[in-house]
Amino acid sequence: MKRAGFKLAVALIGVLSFVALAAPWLGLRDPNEQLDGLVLPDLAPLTRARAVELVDGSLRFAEQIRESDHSVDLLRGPHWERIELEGLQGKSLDTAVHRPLFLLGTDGFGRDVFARLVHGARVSLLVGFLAAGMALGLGTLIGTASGLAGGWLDAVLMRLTDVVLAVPRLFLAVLLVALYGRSLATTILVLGATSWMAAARLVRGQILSLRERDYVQAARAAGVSRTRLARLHLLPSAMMPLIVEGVLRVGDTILIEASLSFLGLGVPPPDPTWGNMIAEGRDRLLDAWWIATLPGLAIVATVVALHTFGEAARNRLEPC
Amino acid sequence: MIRYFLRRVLVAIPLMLGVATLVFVLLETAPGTPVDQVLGDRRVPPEVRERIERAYGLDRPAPERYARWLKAVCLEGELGWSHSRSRPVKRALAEALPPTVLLAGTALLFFVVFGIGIGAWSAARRGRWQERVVTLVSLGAYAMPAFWLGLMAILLFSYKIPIFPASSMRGIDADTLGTVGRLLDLIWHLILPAAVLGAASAAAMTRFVHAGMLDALAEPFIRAARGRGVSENRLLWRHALRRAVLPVINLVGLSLPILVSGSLVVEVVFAWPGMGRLTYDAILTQDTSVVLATTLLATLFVVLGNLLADLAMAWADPRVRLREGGLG
Repeated sequence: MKRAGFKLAVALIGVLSFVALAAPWLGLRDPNEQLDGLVLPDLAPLTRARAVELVDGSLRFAEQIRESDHSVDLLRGPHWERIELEGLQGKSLDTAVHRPLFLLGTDGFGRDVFARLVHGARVSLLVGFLAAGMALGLGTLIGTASGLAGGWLDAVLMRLTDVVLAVPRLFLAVLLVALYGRSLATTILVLGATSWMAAARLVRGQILSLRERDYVQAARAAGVSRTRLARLHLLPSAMMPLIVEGVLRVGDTILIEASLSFLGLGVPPPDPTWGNMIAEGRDRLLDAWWIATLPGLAIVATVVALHTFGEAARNRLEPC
Repeated sequence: MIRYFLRRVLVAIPLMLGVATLVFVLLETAPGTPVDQVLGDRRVPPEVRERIERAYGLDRPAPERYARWLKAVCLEGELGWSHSRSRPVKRALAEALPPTVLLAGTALLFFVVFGIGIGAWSAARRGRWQERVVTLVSLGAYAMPAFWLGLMAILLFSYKIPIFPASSMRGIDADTLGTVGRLLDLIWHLILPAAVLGAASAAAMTRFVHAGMLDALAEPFIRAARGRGVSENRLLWRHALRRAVLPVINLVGLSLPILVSGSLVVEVVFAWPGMGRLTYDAILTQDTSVVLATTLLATLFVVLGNLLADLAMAWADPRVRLREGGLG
């Protein structure tokens, strides 16, 4: 059971990462294109829309298509629209009619939810991994400086850690975005800058305990400099728990990014993230439940997979 | 105990001062000056700008401004003017605080009761399917964004099966009801948001208590009690639970930041008129002084809560206060 869960988690993370990286080449619809404001908003998942292809190759969507002698009539919104057969691709209805599938339906603007979900994975994972990476880097730097230097620098850095840790993370992130403005880059920087504390404490603790080991004492006695000591002898040993912390941090970061986006402080529209898709779906919750529901499920699945993976790795490191 | 209490308070005060300092530094380094905010897009000659800066003391050096700001915030509780609510920030906060305390307090009660109950129950069902279901559900609940869970709860329990109200703190007819009626109305409005807010912490608590119970059940004192003929039920709910529940106090302290952060989004989803809602409105109207004040207050909440948790822990477990006292 546990192993199966772990394998499932690894598979899910792999598929997600692949899909996120390859999104532009998967032949999906443009996630930001409002395909047809009259006919396409709020299509339920697995709907096949109706459309005819015009001579210029573009699709004309319709709720109903009626054929008469030399023309077809398309029901678009409240009105019927007439198109001559000459205007259709292949000049006949049979060759021109299309039933494009919307796997996960469309949102209130007639955008393809599946394409937005996949492109949203791109943004959410990018933010998650970059911010977690930044948190690890910052944490390692602060933790190493603190653990090696000791004395007043250690005291100052650790008090700083306590202080940042005391502010609820979402509030701190909100305040930072409110002060520094809103963009993809600030989102990543803000999330990284608010989540380095655990890594810093971890690295400091590791260094304090490793410092007393014989091999480190020997290296010190041999006159190895402090930076070299950290780089070659201390940090490699602290590496594995740090990576585990990073994986767990990615999940948390994705959750906070979603909350920021939901509050309108994340990545600006129209670019999709799972968080702002839920925020947009909120207005259409009663008419089109899938818009808000699906990105939420994606978040839950991703975070569960990351946590399962991280905890399994941690248990392997510290068999209790 | 008193000595322990004083030591803890002495740690909390500089911590809050540090947070206030951090906030001041962030304000100072943010792009744009307060004068820009006052002026908006209006173009004014530099003399006017200077006059405004002098009038508000913004021409003074940073350390002096820092000292004055700290004094105003900490001693006078002066937090500025909220232009989105057209009243002093202090008053806006005072109005928004009770609903949030009510919501967060209920969520706390909810997650402690359900977390311990379900955690212990699933440990009792160890090896059976009930345990697996609880493990899976708590893993999922921990990974859910609170605002999404809120939307799903509204979709399910306000529309598909309309049993709870979707928003606000009181019904439109609340004024016509008697005291008891109004109280019931409030509770009825409270259930859904409190459950959603407490869900993630309940999941963490369930996992924690579950693991603690399994550890406790493996202890020799349980075998000894079983040998004495103590019933399996009593063993579980009296002997093992007592052992597993003590560290829960710590977890309650750790859950406070999650609860406070969660209230920000949950109040927005349920239109609950508290601090989260106030912060959200302030974000939309770029009312920075309010965002600043709610951040400080939220932090104060968490620090005080942790202080209480530490004290409760020391009261419940003499080893804590003696160990820490001995070191000091």
